[in-house]
Amino acid sequence: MEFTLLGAALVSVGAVWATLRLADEEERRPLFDTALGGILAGVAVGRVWAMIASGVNPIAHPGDLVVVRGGVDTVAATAAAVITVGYLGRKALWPTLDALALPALAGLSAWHASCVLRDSCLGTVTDLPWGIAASAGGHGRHPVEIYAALLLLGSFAVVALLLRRHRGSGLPAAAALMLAAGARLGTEPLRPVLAGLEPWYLAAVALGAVLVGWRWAARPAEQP
Amino acid sequence: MALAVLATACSSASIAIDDVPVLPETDPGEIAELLADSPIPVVVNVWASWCGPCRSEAPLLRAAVAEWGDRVHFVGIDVRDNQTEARAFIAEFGLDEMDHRFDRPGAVPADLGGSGVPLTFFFAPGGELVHLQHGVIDERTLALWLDVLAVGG
Repeated sequence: MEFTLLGAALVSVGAVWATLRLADEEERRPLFDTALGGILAGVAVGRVWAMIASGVNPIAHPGDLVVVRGGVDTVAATAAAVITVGYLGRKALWPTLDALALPALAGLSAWHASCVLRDSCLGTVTDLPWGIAASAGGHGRHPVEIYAALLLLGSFAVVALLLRRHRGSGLPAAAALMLAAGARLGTEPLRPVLAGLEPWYLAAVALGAVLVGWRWAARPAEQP
Repeated sequence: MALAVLATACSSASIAIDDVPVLPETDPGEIAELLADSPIPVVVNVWASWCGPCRSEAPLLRAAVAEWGDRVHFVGIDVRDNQTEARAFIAEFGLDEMDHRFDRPGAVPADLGGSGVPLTFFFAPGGELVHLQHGVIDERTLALWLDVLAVGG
């Protein structure tokens, strides 16, 4: 397993644990089941989709399914995780999504930040003073994964504040989706890639914005 | 999902094994000469058909060749393998656009300073080693070091 995935997994597990500790006792079991279901579905579908996209038939090479390190399709994994969480948590959809928003942001932030363990934080060339060279004597480069981690950390703080006043309304979860996708979309131009995913991040930002508007309008009226 | 799997079978990147030529044998001297004489950056990927991680990075290498093949020379060094399995591997992943060489004893990676499989070496024009990736390479790392080669540092 890549260190970045390991870092994200460890922080997510810690954040889920903290979320469960803070949740009411009767909420813990369904929250745990929903989170676990979402994670497993996301990894499995993301891996199968990555194999299909790269021309490897999962039926002809079933052993490759467990080579998670070989790639997990981000879009498919996210879609599968969200659909699974939505299905498993359908009886209390918005409270469930709100409860899992912070662990998701923490995991994403750690995934980006743990690039330091693999020396893979760098992006495109920059003249900014904090640029870091990839090789001795090379050009300075944006530490783009650190930017993303900090943006997600900021998103974590915003969503934590929203949870204090709007827990269960769906507003924190919608804001988390919009902010997380925005963090990725904003840093993507600084990241050398073989195949960009900007349209998907843009779609996620737009979806998050629509959900924020909807959940804001639908939030319970505050007591005077 | 079944439809997607079916689509895979129909639109696979695989090619017929008969379309893959026998890999020419190579040795450290030939590769050193190739690197020293190359006017463009060279990426040397050391692989083997029996190597599991090589399977996982093969689609990435195919994508990289499609994107960067006109600016970077991609060389594949097949080690501790046999020709039939090697050609089947190339055919399965559609890696025929790479410049593959056959190095049964694994002398080339040892000479270049690496051990194990897979390995990916990134060389600047003229043969200066810029980066050596031990083990499987991911998209981010591959894209970063190709960009480093492209801008000269």
